[in-house]
Amino acid sequence: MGKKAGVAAIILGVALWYYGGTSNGTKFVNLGIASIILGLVITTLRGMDVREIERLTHAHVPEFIDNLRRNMKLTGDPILIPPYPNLPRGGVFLPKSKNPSIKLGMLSENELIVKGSSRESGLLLSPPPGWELLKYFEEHSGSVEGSGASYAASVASSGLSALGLGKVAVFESDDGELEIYAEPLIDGPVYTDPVCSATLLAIARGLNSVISIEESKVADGKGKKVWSKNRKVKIKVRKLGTVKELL
Amino acid sequence: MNARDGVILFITLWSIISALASPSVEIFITIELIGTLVTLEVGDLYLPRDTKETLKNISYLLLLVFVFIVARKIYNVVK
Repeated sequence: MGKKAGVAAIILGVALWYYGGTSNGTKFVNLGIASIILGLVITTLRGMDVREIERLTHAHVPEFIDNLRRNMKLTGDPILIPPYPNLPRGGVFLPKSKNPSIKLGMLSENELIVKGSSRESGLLLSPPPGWELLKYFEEHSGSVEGSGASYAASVASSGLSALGLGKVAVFESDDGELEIYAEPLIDGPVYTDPVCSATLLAIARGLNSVISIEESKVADGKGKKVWSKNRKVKIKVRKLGTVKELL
Repeated sequence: MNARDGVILFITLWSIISALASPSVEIFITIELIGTLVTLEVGDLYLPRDTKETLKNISYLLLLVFVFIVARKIYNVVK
């Protein structure tokens, strides 16, 4: 439904009315008037926007997590952990220290608050908000584990576009940093957004590495050339090491 | 199917059936006016504001035509 369908119904209505008028067919005139009325109604209908629904139903979650992070003084960059035996659904680790030391062997899905030295402690969100989306991508395109950042991003992109949730692009720089362009579903930190979190998780799984979000901001430049509508964010991530190295 | 789609389906079916079943344009306009008013009343909670505004304008127009039809009938009887 929408404007195009409405305009088509109005045009059809005018044609039917004209045909009915010239051929003296009352039913065609009636149908023409009905079609015009329905066309006028249909033009005002909008499709259900998944982003709007998500904003209305989940907008408080990112705010809550952000408040929690600030109140607990978790100042380090958020870290995305791909699925591994201790965290079969991956996770987002919010470290206390700006220079964290992550030990994957210490983490468990049942432990929300990670204790240890100030460099090791923090808050663990597992499963992360994008876990179900990653599962959906892998159900349709196969596992992305160890496939590399570009392949993982293209799997995420095709999965998201199939769901009408936009596209994803990733650019790898020479110094090992990654620039990711994604279209978040809701406002707030990118690690709390299901789309961005799923994308980052797919890339972490593709690289088989733990990645840290260094920066995220509304995209310009390269991002605008890739897509033309909706709001994009540019996320800069850095590889911290492979899962094996950090166990 | 959500409630909004149900209301739109109702007015669509009402319009098509009344267009096919009415022997004259005057009767069709009258039945269509009833359908529009019922849709407005029933769909008050479910329809978007823009759609309700459009339906209201359509019902005003149909009401105007209905008044004209009634006036013409009265004129014919009086004459």
